[in-house]
Amino acid sequence: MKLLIKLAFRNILRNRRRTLITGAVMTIGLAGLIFIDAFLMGLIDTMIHSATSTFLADFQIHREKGPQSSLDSTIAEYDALADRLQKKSEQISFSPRIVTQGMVSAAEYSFHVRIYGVNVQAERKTSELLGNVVTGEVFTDELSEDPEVLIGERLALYLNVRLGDHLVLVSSGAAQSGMVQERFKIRGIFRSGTKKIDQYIVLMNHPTAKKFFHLKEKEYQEIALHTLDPKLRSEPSLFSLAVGSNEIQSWRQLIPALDAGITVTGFSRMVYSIILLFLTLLTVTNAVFMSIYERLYEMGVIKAIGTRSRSVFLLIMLESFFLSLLSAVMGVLLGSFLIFIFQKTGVPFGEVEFFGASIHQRIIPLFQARQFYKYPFFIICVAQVAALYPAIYASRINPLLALRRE
Amino acid sequence: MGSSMEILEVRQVSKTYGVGANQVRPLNNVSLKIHQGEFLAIVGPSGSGKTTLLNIMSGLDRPTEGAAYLAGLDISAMDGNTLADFRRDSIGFIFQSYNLIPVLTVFENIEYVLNLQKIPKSERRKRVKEILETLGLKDMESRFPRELSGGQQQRVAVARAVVTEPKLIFADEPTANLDSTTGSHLIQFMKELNQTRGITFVFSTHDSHIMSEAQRIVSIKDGQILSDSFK
Repeated sequence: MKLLIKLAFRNILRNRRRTLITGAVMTIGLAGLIFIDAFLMGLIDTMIHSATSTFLADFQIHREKGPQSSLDSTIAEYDALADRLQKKSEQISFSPRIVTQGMVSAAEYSFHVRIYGVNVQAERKTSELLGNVVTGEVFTDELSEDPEVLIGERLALYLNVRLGDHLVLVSSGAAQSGMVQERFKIRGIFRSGTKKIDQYIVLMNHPTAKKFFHLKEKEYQEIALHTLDPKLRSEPSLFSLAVGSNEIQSWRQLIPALDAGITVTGFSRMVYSIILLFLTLLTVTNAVFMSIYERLYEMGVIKAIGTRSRSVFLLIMLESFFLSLLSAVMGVLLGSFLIFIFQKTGVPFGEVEFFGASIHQRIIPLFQARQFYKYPFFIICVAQVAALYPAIYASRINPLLALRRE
Repeated sequence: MGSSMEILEVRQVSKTYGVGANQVRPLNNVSLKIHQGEFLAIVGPSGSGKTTLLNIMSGLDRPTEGAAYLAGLDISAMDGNTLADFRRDSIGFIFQSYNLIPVLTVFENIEYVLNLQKIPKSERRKRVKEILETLGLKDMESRFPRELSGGQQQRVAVARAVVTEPKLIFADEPTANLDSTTGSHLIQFMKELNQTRGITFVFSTHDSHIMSEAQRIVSIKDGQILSDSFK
């Protein structure tokens, strides 16, 4: 075996150009796999971050049966729930919200919108929307004589309104208060990059919302929860935070399209992997066959002097193994280098929306443990599979026929 | 004749290649006995069947008809692995081309066959050193084949064939690629090994120098033995 290892190792250094080309194919293939994986993980992370951090949050608590946008579906036992959430303040921040549907009208146009009453301080800790105000400023938590709202840039465009203009909101009030309507001043305009948020959301502070909808103290329809560490998004204890007749839903349940999108991304990663591995397989098979044809006479000689077929088979397999091992090391180094570089610069992706999540920043590729064991293992396995047929062929070479090839 | 003990026998051996109109018969009902210690040359023009006969006698090829017996064993009936082991342990080969493994040094090339025989490292080293000394290759042990002349490479090939102490060495045109002086030296080496170690040499050749040194010449033409003469 020692002799075969020595022979195999020296054989791969024999035709350096071919070894270099074959090794380069495997190295680049593996580096590509690693980088694509890192990029897609970065893309998924960005999509989840974009979807959850803008306004949706990682979890939401509602009255049972999910978000219904009815003022009557108020969170049950709010004080007990708030206490419970407060005790988890090392893991999460939360923002109670008043939520309902309504109609917004300006001089010429009317649109259907979702109206949110938020606590500025709590909302800033839970979502990034208030930080996305590009014109004007965020309202305070105080009740203003001239009630104020924040609207999205897209809605402002459709309504043909500007900062400081007034618009009218019409909705149903709480309990038996009937229709409510009032004139609001635009205090700020936000741009989140997500079409649905920028077109359909109107924000006001809690006191304004309570007064407008005739709500009592601590009557909320939604509590948004933000995990302080993204890893906690799948923390089981957070899934049991809801009490009484409330229920908690994670972002996966709230935006199933994004969840499906992640599955699709995983599938596309698998397709890339299969294509790259298949190309590697063909290249290695071809290279190993070439190397056998080149030394057919030599194969005949070693068989003639008593080398068993099994040893010839092992020799070819070992050659492929050493080449793939070297390529795996180089591929991991190259892949890691690419990830490292693009972690500094990011991968430009333009401004797009994927599966309900908007992406408007550069994608940062992410290192994953599997990139350092799973993909190199795949490459080595593929190289072994690729060498299998040539190795069987070599082991079956008739020494006499091989010697006649000279 | 060095000894009267019979080491190899081919009995009514024929070989046919191809089918129908393309059928050729390079060997036709050949019988031959070779005794231990002989220095024998099979001679004949190109296409006469001498290499085919050598291949059948060495177990590299199988006869279509008849059988070949080496030390009493029917090598024509052996399976691939048994035959490989048999060639490894009982036969040495010297080919026309310099048939060394290019990625192994002179020492490693000679050691290769001992490795196949699973001989312990210390014994391997001893035997390789000894044969290198005998064949005057001591200073070249760490050189690779590409760093040697044709004659030196063929000497290494002889060393590799001899190191396992085989009963029989087959040499197919061993001097064909060498100049006459180098070829003559090589023949002398093999003659010495034949005389000092009693190794049987069977040559397939049309080199007149080998013929002049051979104790026995088997002349073959059109697949049949024309003459078999002892000196």
